[in-house]
Amino acid sequence: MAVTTYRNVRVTFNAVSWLSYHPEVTLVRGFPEIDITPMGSTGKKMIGGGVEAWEVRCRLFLDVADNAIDEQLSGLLADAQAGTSRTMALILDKDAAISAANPEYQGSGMIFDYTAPFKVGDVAVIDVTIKGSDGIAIIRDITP
Amino acid sequence: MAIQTFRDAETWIGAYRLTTNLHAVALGQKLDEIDATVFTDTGRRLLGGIPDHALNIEGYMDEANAGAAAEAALGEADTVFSVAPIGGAGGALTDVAYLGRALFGKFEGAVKVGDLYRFSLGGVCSPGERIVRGTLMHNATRTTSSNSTGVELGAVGAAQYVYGALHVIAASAGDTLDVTVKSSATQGGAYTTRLTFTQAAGITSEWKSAAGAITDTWWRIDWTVGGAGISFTFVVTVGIQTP
Repeated sequence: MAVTTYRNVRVTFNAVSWLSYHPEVTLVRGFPEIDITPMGSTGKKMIGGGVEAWEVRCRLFLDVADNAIDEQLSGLLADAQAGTSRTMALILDKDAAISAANPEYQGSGMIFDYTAPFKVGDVAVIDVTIKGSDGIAIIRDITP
Repeated sequence: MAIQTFRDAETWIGAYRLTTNLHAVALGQKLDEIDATVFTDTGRRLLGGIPDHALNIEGYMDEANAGAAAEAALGEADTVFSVAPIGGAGGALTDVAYLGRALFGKFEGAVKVGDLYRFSLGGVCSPGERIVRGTLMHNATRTTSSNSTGVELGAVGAAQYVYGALHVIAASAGDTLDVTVKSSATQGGAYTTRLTFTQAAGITSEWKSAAGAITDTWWRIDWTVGGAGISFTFVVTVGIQTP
C-alpha cells in the first residue's frame, strides 16, 4: 500500500467549499448489524441491514464574518428544519482528478446541530456532522 | 477565511452586561433528527424536527452584576439575551450578534478555599423559538435623542420575522428612553417604524418581533430620551429569520 499524508481533503456542502475551515474530516459509513443467529448456532450470524447510514464529520474553525462559515451553518440548520437536503462532496485530493485512487464521495445531507463555543483568547472550534438524509446511499465516484 | 480568536465577546442577559464576568459562551443549536426512511430507499432518509437551542455561559462571580443577572434570569420565562462574539465595547454596527429569549433553568456556583467563585448559567430558548443570527445595531451611552446610521440587513420575507432585543443596562434616575427599530428602502430615505419598545424608565430588557413581508433593506435604531441629567446605556440587536 501507499502511505499517504492528506493535505488537500475538501468537503463541499451546498456548493460551498469548506476547505479553508476544516483541519479534520471523517467519513463514517455503516449498515445496521442484524442478528439472525438461529438455534443450534455456535457463533453469531449477522447480516448488514439494507439501508446505509452515512455521515461526514468536520472539525471547523469558526468564522463569524459576513457570508463565512457561521452564517452558512445557520442557513443549513434552517434548511434542515424545512426538510431540504443539500449536496455534499468529499474528495481526498482536491488538486487531483477523480480516480480509483482519488474517489469523491457524493450525497445529500443535512446538519442537525452545532454548538459555537466562544472562549476568551481562543479560536472557536466546532464539530459539525453532515448526515445523509435523502434516502440514497452515498456514492463513491471514481470516474474521472 | 479568517480564523478568529475571541477576546471581546459581548454577552447581555436581561438588563445586565456580563462580558467582564465571563470567560466562555456557548451557543447550541440543535434539531431533532426524524428518521423518515421508507421502502425503496438505499440510504437513511432524515428530516429536521423540533429546534432545541440553548445558551450556556461560564465565568467568575461578581454578585453585584453577575449575581444580580442570574437572580433576575433564573427561572424567569422569556429572558432576553444577546451575544456578539466579536463585538467589543462599542462594537461596529455590522458585527454579528445572536439574540433570543430563554428560560435559564440551571445555575451552578462553586467555591474552593483560596480560589475564585466560578459559576455557570444555562438556558434553553423559549418554546417554539430559536437563536436568531442578527446584527449588533447599538451599543453605547446616550444623553440626547438621535438615531443610528442605516445598515443594510436585508428584506424580511413573507415567511420571516424581524426580531429585536433591547438591553438597557444603565439608566439615570427619573428619565425615560424610547427606542424604535426602523426600516427604509434606501440608506438615506424615509424610515418606517417596525418595532417599538416599551418606554424604559430604568434598567430593563425587552423582545419585539414583526412579521414580514417588509421589502425595505436598510435598518436603523432611533432613540428619544426625556428628563434632566439624562444618561442611558443600551444595546439593541436585530435579526431577520424564519421562525
